[in-house]
Amino acid sequence: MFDNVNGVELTVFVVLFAVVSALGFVAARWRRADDLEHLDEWGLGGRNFGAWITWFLLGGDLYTAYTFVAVPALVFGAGAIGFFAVPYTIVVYPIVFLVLIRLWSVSHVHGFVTPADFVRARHGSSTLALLVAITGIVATMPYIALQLVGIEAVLKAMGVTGHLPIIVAFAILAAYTYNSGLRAPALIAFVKDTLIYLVIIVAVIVIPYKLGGWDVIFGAAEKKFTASPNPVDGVILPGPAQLQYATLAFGSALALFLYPHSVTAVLASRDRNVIKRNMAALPAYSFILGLLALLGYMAIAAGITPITDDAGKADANTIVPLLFDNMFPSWFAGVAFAAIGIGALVPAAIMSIAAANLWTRNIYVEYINKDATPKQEARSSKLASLVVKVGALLAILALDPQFSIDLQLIGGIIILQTLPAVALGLYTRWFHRWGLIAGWAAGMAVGFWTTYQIQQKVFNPDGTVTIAKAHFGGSGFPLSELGLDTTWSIYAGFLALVANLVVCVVATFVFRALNVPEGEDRTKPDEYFADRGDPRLRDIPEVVH
Amino acid sequence: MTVHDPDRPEDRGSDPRAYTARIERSDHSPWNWLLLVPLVLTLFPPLYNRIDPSLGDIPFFYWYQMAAIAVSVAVTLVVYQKTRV
Repeated sequence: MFDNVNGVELTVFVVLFAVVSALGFVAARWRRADDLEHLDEWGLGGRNFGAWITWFLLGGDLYTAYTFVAVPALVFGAGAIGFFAVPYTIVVYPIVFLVLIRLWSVSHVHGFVTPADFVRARHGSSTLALLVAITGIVATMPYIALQLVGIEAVLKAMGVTGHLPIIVAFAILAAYTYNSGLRAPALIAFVKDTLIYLVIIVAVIVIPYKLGGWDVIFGAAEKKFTASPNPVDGVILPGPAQLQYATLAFGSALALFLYPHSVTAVLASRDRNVIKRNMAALPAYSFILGLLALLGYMAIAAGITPITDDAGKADANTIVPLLFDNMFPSWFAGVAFAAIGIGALVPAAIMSIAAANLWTRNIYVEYINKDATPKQEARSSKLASLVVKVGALLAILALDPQFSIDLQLIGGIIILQTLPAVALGLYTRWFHRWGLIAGWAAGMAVGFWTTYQIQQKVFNPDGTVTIAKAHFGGSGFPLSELGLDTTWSIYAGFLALVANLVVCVVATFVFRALNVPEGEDRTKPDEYFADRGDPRLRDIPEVVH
Repeated sequence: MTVHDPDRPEDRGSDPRAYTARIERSDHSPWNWLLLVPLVLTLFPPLYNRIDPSLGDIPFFYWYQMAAIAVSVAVTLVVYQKTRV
C-alpha cells in the first residue's frame, strides 16, 4: 500500500488533513445554536451566514476537487474545449442573480429547505415535488462519489494505493458532518479555499518560469494537437466544436444552481444582499479555475504522462497531481495535494447534507412520518447523510469509477430538467402541474437517449477510428444523428431542455383543454420580495426539549 | 455612504409593505438588463476564437475570456449598487 511513497508529501498531507478534521468537529460550537437538532440548524447552519462565510462556502461548494483535476485533464487531452469551464462560470452568476433572491425570499417566508419544498407549495403537486427530489438525489450521489476520485488521484500521485486511506478519509468526513452539519464544511471551506488560492497562484508563477515561459507551453500544446488526428482538439476551437462549447457553457450554467447542494448554500445566507454581493464576488474562483485549466497545457509542455491502472488504462485525472509532484519541492507538493484532498471534503459534505434534506423533507415527512417533529427531521437527515456517503463510497470501491463519471455526466443533464418547475416556477404559474411533469419526463427521455448515442472515439495516427466507448462517451451530441448534414455537435442537456420546454407548453394547453384540475399555489406574489427583518419571515421555532 | 441595515426599523420604513414594494421595484429595475452583457461577451465563440492578438504569449482565446471575468464582476457590481434598496 505504501511502496514508493514520498514521506514528506504524505506527512504534510496527513497533518493538514488532520487539522481540518479537527475543525470539522469543533464547528458544532461555532456560531453556536441552542440545539443542532433542527434542520434549519443542522442542515442550513442557522440560516444566518453573512457575505464572507457564504463566499467561502459557495466557492468551496461549487468549485469541487473533481473540477480541479478533471478540467485540466480535459484541456490536457482536447485543448480549448476544456476551457468551457470559464465561460460557464462567468455566465452563471448574472443568470441566477435575480432568480436566487426570489428563491431566498419565498423560502424564508415558508421555511423551505429544499428546491422540492418550493415546488410542492408553488405547484400544489406532491408528485412533481417527489420527481424533483428524486432527480436531485440521483444527480448528487455520483457527484459525491466523484469527490473520492479527486482524493484518489492525489493519493495515487503520492504513491499510496489501496482502498483503506479513502475509507478512513470518508469515515472521518461522515462523522463530523453527522456531528456538526453545514457548519463543518462552512468552517473547513476557509482552509480549503485559502490553500487552493495559494497553490494555484504559486503554480502559475513557478511552473511557466521553470518550463521556459508561456510561448513554450502553448507551443507544446499546439504541436501535440497538430500531430493528433482528432478533428475536435486544438489550442483554439475547431469550427464544429464552437456550438458545443457555447451550449455546454450555457447549459452547465443553467444547471448549476438547480443542484440541491447549491441551493443549500444559498438558503443558508442571511439576507438578499449577501446573495447579490456573492454573485459579484464568486467570479474570483472562476479566475482561479481558468488558471487551473491552463495547468493542462503546462502538463503537456512538462511531458507528463498519466498514471495507468492495473488494466493498462491511462487515468488523465492524475496529470495535475503529477505536474505538482514534478515541479514543486516535496513539502509544497504535499500542501497542493492537501488542497485538492480537502477540496473534496467540503462539497462532499454539503452534497450529502443536501441529499439528506431532500430525503427528509420530500420523502420521509411527505410519505412516511407526516407529523415528524423538528427533532425527528434532523435525526432523519443526519442518518441519511451517512447512508448517502456509504453509497458513494461503495459506488467507487465496488463498481468501476467510470460508472460514477458516466452518472455525473448524466447528472448535469437530468438536474437541468427541473428548470421549468423550479426556476421558471419562481416567475410564473402559467404551466399546468401535469404539463411540468410531462415536460420533465420528455427531457429525461431525450437526455438519456442522446447521451446513450454518444460514442467516445479514439483517433489513431494511421487515420482509423477506434470506438473506445460505445455509449455515454461524452456530452457532445452530433447533430448528424438527427439527420442534419453537419459535423457540429451540441450539448445533450441543452437538447433535452428544449424538448422539456416544448412538451411543458404543449401539455399545459392539453391539460387545460381537458379541464384537469390545477394545483393550489400556497405562495403569494409579494412573498418573493421579502427580506431580512420582514415580519412574515418564519423565525426558527424554539425547539422543545 | 450610509450602511443599510434591514434589522433597523427606520431603514425598513414604518410600513413593511412599503419596504417590500421598494424591493420589488429594485428587482424590476432597468439596470438589471446590464446582466446580459457577460452572456453576450462569452456565449458567441466566433467573437474570440482566435490566436491573435496574443498577450504576453497567451493566445487571444484565453486572455479574452479571463478578461471577461473582470468585465462580468464590474457589471454585476454596478447592478448591485444601482439596485440597492
